[in-house]
Amino acid sequence: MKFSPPILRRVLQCLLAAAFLFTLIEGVVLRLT
Amino acid sequence: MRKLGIIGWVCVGMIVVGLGLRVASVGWNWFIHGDVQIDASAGATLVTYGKLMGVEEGQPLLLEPTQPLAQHGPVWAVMGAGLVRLMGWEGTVENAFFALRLLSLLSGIAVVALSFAVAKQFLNEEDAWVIAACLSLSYLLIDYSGNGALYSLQTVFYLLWVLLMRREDWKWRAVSIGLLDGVSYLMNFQSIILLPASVLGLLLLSRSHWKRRVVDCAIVAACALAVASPWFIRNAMIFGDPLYSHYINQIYVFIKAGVPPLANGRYEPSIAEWFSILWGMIHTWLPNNLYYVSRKLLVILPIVFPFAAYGLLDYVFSWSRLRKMLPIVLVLGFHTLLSVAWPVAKFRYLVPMLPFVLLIAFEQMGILQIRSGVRHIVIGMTLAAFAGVAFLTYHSVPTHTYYYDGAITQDAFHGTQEKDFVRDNGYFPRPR
Repeated sequence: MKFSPPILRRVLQCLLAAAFLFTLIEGVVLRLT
Repeated sequence: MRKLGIIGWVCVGMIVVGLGLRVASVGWNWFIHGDVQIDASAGATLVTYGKLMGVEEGQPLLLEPTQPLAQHGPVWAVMGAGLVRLMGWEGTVENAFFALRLLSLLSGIAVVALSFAVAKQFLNEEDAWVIAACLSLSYLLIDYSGNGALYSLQTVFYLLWVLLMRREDWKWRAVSIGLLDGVSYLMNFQSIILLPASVLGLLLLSRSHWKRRVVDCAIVAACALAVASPWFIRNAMIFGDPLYSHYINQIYVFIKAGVPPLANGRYEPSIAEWFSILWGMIHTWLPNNLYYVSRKLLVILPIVFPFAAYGLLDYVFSWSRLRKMLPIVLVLGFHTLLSVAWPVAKFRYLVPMLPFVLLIAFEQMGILQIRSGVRHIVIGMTLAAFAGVAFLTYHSVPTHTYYYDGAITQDAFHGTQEKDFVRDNGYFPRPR
């Protein structure tokens, strides 16, 4: 599979979504940041 | 404005309420917080003794000229002293502090107005109203419009810089940017980030020949140095080191990094110790602070912050969008980088970030081509969320102050520093 910028963009978008999810659970819900 | 209809009038209403809360914030902040005492004392000693002096820690309201001002630049203190003189008040720390609160009020109002102007230039009038309304009801900006701290003026300078960068055809652009860089630096040393931002902005954004761009960069550097040089000369004469202010501020870094002082009390890290500081910065301070800043922005910029995060990510893959937003990205990027590389990213470092994060968030919303109805629902929810967070924050601390964070959410140390500060110093209830 060719590693092109659109794929990289999607991967980074997914990582960002995961980071927000982690922050919401760890930071906001559990410790109120 | 006409297109926005009801939301437009809601924005105007929120801006008016925000302005009222800013005036009230001057009253809530009747007691002095942290670093503000440095500027208030320096302003008072300038009026009384004709010298910019510091103050012993723990004695915030004593007018004792103990040591020359070094930790902060002179601009904010001089502005406070100027207002005290203008009003014909006595040169006390209380009066200088009140003058600084009034100046922070003016700066806080200017932040909203200038953010509107920047948003109108970079985005459109609809977004400009919504951004102004959000900023107007941001409790962080409300508090920093009345607590006498210099961060609202720093935000004003950043926004002015962005507006100047847009005026490509103005022949005095490089000179005015250089002067602004110099004054901003002397107002808060953190604003030194405007220098690399200016160089990159002039090199990347200008349409003129590369020689012209290099000359513009040189003009900016020369003007900034000319403005800052009296301060360097003064420090060389008093302390024997033109960059003594930076040494004083670096001591904080050395202490946090565990670098021991020499036998004479001075800090002179070895090359190995400098590398250890750099490693700690990259390995520990930067990621932890970046996470703190991100989760803080998620709360104080409700709903819109994820849009900004995705917008920044998309800029990596779109030069045309990045080019359009480059002045905003440069200021936000350099300011954030400096803030998170510091041992502890203080809550107050977030103040100048807010307008720029909102601008990027709304640019991203515009690109997403959301249907008009859905877009208005998102905007309505965002405005309601900003009002809700402001309401909760107002009720979270009895004094309604917010300097140290730790209201509704934890501060950088996972504590409630503002509440602790208010309680430990007996600032509530307010004495009559």
